[in-house]
Amino acid sequence: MRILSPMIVGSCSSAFTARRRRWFYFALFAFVFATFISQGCEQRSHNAIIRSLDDLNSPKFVIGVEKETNAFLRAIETFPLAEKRQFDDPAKLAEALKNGEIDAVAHDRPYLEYFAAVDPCLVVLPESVGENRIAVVAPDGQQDFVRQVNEFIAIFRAEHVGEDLSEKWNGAFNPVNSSTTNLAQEMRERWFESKDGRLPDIPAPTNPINAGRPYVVGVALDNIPVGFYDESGEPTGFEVEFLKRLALFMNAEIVLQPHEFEQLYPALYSETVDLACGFLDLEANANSSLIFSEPYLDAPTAVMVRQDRYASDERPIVYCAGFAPVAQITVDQLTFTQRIKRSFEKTFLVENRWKLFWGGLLNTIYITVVATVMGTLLAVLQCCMRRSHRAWLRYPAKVYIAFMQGTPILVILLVLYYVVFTKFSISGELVAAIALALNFAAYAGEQMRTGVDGIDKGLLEAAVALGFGRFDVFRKIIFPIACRRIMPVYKGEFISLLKTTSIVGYVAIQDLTKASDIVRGRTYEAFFPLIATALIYLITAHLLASGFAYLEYRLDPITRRKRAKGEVNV
Amino acid sequence: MSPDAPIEAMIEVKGLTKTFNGVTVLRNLDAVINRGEIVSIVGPSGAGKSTFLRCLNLLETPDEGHIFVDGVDVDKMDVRKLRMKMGMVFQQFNLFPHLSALENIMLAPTKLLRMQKSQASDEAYELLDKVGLAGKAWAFPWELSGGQQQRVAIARALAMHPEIMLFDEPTSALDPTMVNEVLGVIRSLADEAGMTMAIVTHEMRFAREVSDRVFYMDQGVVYEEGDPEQIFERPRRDRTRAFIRRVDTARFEIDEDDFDFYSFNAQVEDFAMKHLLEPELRQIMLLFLEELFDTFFLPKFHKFTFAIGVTERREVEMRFVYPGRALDPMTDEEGLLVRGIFEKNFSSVHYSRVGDENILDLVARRDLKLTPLS
Repeated sequence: MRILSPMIVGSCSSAFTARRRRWFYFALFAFVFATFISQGCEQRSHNAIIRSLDDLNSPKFVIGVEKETNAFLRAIETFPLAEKRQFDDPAKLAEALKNGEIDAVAHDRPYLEYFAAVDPCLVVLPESVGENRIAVVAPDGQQDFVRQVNEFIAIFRAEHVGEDLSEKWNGAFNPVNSSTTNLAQEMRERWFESKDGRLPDIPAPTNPINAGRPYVVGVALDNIPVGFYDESGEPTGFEVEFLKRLALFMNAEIVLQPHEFEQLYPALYSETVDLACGFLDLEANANSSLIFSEPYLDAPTAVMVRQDRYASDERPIVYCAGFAPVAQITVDQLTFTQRIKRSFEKTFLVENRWKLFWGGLLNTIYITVVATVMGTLLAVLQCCMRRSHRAWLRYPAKVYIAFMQGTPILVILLVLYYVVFTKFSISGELVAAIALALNFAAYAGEQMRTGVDGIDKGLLEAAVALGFGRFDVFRKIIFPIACRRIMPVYKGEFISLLKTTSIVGYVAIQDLTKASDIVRGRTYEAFFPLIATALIYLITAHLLASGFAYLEYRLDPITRRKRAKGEVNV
Repeated sequence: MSPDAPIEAMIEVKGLTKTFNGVTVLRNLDAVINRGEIVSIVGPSGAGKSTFLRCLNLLETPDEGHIFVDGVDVDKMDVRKLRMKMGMVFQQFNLFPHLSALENIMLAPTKLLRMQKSQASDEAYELLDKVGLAGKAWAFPWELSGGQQQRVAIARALAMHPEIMLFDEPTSALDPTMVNEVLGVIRSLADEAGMTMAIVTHEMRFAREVSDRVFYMDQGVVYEEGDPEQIFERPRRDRTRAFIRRVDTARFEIDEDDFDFYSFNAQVEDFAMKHLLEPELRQIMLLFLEELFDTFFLPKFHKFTFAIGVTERREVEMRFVYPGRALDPMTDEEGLLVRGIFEKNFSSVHYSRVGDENILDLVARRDLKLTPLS
């Protein structure tokens, strides 16, 4: 303020010269900028020890919760005084907890147990903060389906002591021989208090009643142990088992469609899916038009803190033994190279995770190439319309460009996926490619137009005067000149498109970014997968761009001269 | 043009009218260009010269009128065939920037005449040699000077074996140092028999030397036409004269009844000062003008026009136009009083009679001294 006040006074006086005004704006800018920076850099300095749940109910603590979960409601009830901060997914919560951004995480116990199991410096408090009733959700109009699901859930949760339902459950669960009393209990033990954490072999119905028209069920597959990908990239987890058993029970074909957790509700509202299963609480969205099934599971909400902030000396029992890392080495003991090597192994080699990256990369390239081809065709069409003498061709193109350039590509993608193409059975990859192509065309088409408009009219006149027709003028003069002019920006637009594909993960497509997200959620490491992903994008972009560079080289007339003179041979 | 060839119209233009956004550029224009004839088209800018040329190969569509090429109305011809008959050279060269000199020349013959590449290439090399650029076959337009580009452009037009060549101000965009190399090429083309050429140009000396006929265009018509000798030496009409001699003139309508000599004097003096005439010369001029007016023109004619002009060569020209009976003061008895003034002060005195008007053209001596008048 000491710097600012004379400036403010100066601004009021008549002697507010241009130079002073510059200083004033500079100071104002610096002040605002510094304020932002200091906000961003705010560090949580206190290190209060946490003994029990009650300790956390204090304004000095920040509790992280996931958006739209019941844990959020529980946290408000249980810790009214503490500050609550919302995050997108459980993995981010764990990262924030580890780097001290938040003091505790409130979430469904199964997730937290998993985190504590794979990371020795995290610990879950033994007490719970209430139970959540987990149900599956269907859009309005799926009453029949939900009724069948409810029948299944009733049997699923029923006590079956002494009954032999092995035929119904196909041998994987036999209450006569089992120590548990019902299937729900066995699955709970399998996945949450894990003996092995492996999906039993459940056959698909051989002669489904809805053959060819399967139920589409949206699932979130980035949450171990509820729903996730196993080492061979197959979906697994509590809910996957649940759904497979449901399919067997109903004798119906069910297809799993992976979504981001927060995209499950939009998918339901837009009826992209017939059912969603993602550890959804009955209470969280009770007032909506959606249909909720009976709860199939009661999951307690628990709280996780950092081991070094937890008062008790003894570590609580690790439930998710099946997921515990092979060797529990403290990272601090490793050298830098060893750490990189370990991260590399964790990110790429363990469970063949490189296959995830490879598949993601192929998807990314597929979408990029398809979008470029479609986008270029559209761009040419749009460029022709824009240059047309007819207003009824010109104006729609103008409106289209204004619309596409003024709307975020992510919104366009979501609109296409959840609104426009909901009723069409086309793959998500194609929808993404169409969205990106529409966006690409709006920009590339305008570049083409400036490229063509920029050509000296005299050249066209000269060609016409020689006797060339319109088509030949385009083919022999306009096209080659415009091509060479457009190529550099076109290349840039293409690279930009490649990078923009990283948003397609929003609509259940496993591209490179999504693959790295999955690995991150799994290895629970932020740095290495992100840097590795950035490098993969960089290399891919460079390789594809060098293709364009070769094209530019070939289009360069100097190259033609060198070839004519025999100086180069390309 | 060889003198014994029969005169036959190659291009005949009748009643050509062209309007751009309400501005009439060509106004009911008639013209004939004969086979093998070299025609230069000169005139002030905005006179419609380029538009006239561009109408010939239908780069501009005429609003009204007819153009006959080889006796055929162009409306009834395939426009592309017509254009292939006529090579055109533009002010801005308009070489295709993505093609080398050689490729620029070869493009049209291979595409439009379906010529074999090898033949087209041989001819292109010949043409490059002809315009003095044999070594520049693989140079791209941006690597050539303006003059070289224009020579390639001429070769490109010639590659189609046109019967007619249209040049639209071929040297206007060139540095003065490069004008001659381009004019030289056009001149050598003109020397070859057979080619019909129409050249819009501002190079008067070139037009005079190279043309068989000159069109002076003004106000959207061919205002005056004739052989170069006539147009450049003895232009018949006022505007032609003013243009050819680059005269800046001041005109005065003089009526004895309300003639204010002092105001007239002041205006003439202003004009003289504007053209930086020496003070001495100004004084003499005013003196003999007073003498001429008082003793000859005012008493005899009452109403007449007087124009004074300064040419590019800084000669002072005067013209008296007076109506009525024919009266040449140099021969007629009535002119006896003023004849001395004329002889003493003017290097050239030329009398002519057009219609019922007498025209007296005078060019002042450059070595005028302030000596007492006779």
